[in-house]
Amino acid sequence: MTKGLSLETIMKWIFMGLALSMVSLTLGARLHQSYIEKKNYALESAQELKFSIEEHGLYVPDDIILGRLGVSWRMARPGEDAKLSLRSGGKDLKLTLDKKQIITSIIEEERYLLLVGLLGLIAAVELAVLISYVLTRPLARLAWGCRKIAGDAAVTLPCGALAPYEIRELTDSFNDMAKQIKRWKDVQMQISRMDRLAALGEMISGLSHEIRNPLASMRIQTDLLRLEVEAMAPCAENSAAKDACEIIGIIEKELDRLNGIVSQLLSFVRPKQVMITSVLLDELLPWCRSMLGPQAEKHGIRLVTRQTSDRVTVMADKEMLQQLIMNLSLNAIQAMESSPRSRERVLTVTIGAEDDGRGFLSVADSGPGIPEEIRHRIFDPFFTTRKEGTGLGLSTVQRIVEGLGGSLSMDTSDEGTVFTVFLALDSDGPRA
Amino acid sequence: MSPLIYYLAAFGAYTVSIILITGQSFGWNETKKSFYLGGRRISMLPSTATFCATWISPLSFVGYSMWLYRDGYIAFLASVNGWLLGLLFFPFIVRRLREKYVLSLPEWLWRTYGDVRVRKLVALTMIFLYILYLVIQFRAFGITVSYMLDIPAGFAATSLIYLFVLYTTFGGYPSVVRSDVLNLFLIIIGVSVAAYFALPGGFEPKEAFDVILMKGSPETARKLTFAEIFSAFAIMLSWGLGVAGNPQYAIRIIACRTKRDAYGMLSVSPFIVGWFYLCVTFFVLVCKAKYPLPGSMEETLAFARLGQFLPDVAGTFLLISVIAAAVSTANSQLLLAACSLCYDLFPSGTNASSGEGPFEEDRFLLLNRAAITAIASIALVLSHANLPDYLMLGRISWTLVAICFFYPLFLPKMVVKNMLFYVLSVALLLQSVLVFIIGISPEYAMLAVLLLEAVLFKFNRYFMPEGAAGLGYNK
Repeated sequence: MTKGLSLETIMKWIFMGLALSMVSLTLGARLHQSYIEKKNYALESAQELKFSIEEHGLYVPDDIILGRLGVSWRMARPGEDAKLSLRSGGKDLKLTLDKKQIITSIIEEERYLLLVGLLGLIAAVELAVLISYVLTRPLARLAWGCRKIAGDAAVTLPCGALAPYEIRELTDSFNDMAKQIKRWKDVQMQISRMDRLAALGEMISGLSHEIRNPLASMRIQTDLLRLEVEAMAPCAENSAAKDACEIIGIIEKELDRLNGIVSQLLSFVRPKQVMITSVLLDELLPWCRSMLGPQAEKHGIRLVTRQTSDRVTVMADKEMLQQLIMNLSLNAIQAMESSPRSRERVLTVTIGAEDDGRGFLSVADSGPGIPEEIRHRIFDPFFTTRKEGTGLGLSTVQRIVEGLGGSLSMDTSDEGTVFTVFLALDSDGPRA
Repeated sequence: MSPLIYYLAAFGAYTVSIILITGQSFGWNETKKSFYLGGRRISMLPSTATFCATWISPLSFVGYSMWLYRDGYIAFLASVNGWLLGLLFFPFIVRRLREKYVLSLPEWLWRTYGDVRVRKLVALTMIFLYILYLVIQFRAFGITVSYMLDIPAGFAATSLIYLFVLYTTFGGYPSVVRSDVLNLFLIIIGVSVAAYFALPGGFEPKEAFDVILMKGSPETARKLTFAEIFSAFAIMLSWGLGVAGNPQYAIRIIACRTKRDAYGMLSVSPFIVGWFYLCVTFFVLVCKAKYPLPGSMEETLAFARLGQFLPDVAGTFLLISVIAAAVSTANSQLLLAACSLCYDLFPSGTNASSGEGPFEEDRFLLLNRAAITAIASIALVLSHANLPDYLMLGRISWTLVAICFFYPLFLPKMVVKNMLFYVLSVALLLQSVLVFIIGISPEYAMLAVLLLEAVLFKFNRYFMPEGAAGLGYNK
């Protein structure tokens, strides 16, 4: 993009030119008027003097005549046009106006005016600069805002308290437009994500079926193989049979793991039927302590369970809530593994109720937080930063929350991350 | 033709030139760095021009001239020698100043010695001393203009410099540099023309040499007393240290595009400044020998009267050069005072995260311009108050500068970081008591205070464990 002159620069030069012209015009007109007045006065006084001298036939010495006429007159040089000819004592005198003297006397008389003119000129130019600034700055801000939006950034333009109506209107409209664009982008992102998930689901569903059947067959055959080996020679007596049993055990373990992954994939693409009932969140806390306590202890993490309200009853599926808490907590425990040793590792599970009729359940960690560059991808299926992760934990959490008709929020910083799930309160259930 | 016409024409031309040359400000892409330092992209020649133009103030022009006219070469020994002595210190601090990437000298002190209180204390002192400096420029300008236009010295005459200075300072450092190029050109032309036309019969090398040697003057035969020599030495030392530590020069070193440009600027400047002093000294010595002035007279007015002994055009150039000297120094000092107020003393909005995009920067620079207007207005009012003469105001300012900056800038290894704030506070307080309450000459007081600073640093270094004292500076 080629950069021409800015509107501000053009306005400044125009205003400066106007100021300069106005001052020159005013001072010029005033000086010209003074010159004309002085010249006319000199001519009139000269005519009066001529009349009195010639009428009475007086003889007046040259220097007296020049003294009476003042500095505006001088003797005409030979060959020069005379503005005044008078006869004094029989002698012709030729006089002319001394323009240089007239101008000098005007400038001496009008020097205050000239000073005021210069003061006015500088003041006008400074004012021009300020006016250009005030008028063009909102446009520059809008241009900056448009560039930001084009660069895919969210932007809200401030509007000064003293901004005129038009600028205020323009800024408000711009901010509304920026909000709409952002909303539209969010919707587009959601639609594109749903499309991706649908395609992914179809593919996973087909693949899982194809893998699961041979896996089941392989598991049965392995069991049969173990029985055969044990029948031929008991493992406790024969070392070769013992080795074979160990190898078969490893194969069984790996097959079970593969089966587990396939089940997880299937449950992700074809979640089980949601059974929404009244669930007392308070009951989840003892479960958390018993299920998560040993895990947390193993990783040197302090588990804290809290409740900000008593007897909070929400409409949900208890089993799914437990899965949700488990997924979030395991994620939190893994996140805290990378936090420095000096920082206390705390996993906090909190339940409570909001004033707006929603119950909540939050899982917080004291880990290093989620880096900004991956925040928008953490709910994508199969997105993981760990070598052994499936990348389904948080996407399953999101799917569960959506299935329960709730909402999920995330707050992350250097101090840690908090996931909060909001669910509708059971209107008939007890709540303190 | 009446000299008034020359004066008016020259003055009008100067006004229009300043308006056209320095007219742009409030740019959308302005930042603090571009406003205070021109983005640290000023090349050697404009840097040299602004360095020299800022150097030549009515104090070093009119004040020195009239002292020379009155007392002869003792003025040269004490003042010009002192100032040029200060110039010798600058090459030693180029690297130290530029490595910190700061926008102001108080910030440099903070980043170097790690105490934000030092930054605030020095910023406050700078605001005070630059207002005093501004009073000098405003007064000299007002009197010169009133003489040139034959009007009473008052607000009308002084308002012009107020508007000039606001106009040039609103554009920040780049605007100041542009106006300084014009001002330096006018100053050098003015003093060169004055020196050339000073001798009544035209310039004659032999006669000029006699004038420089002050042949026939009774003062050449007079021997200086010990008190005079000591006084001249004290003034020379204190003015030298004042120049060496003066932030208006240090900031120009920081604003240079490269270190090479900074060294280039410091190498060329002595020649320009030297030429200026040579011309002024010669012109004043001719006036002293040939044109006696009647009785006691205000110094700027007396200097303007000396100008009338020159041909009209030369006299006009000389008086315009006094105006240029006043404007060039005033806008630079006003920018530094506003920077101290907005950036160092109350640095609100200087945190990058406190606002979105360029809005915060824009708001900050607008506040800066409001501060410029406020400080200039205070100086304008004070220039009509009954303050001491130029030399006294300059002496007060220079000594304060030396007290604040001499040790931190030039002897950093001597400074005890953790004690710097207390030492500077005690030093400034003591200097104020000695000068304003007891009435000691600022130079003598400053020498005592600098000695006290050294003793305090030594004392702390001796009695405090090295780790607690925080010796030296942060590289």
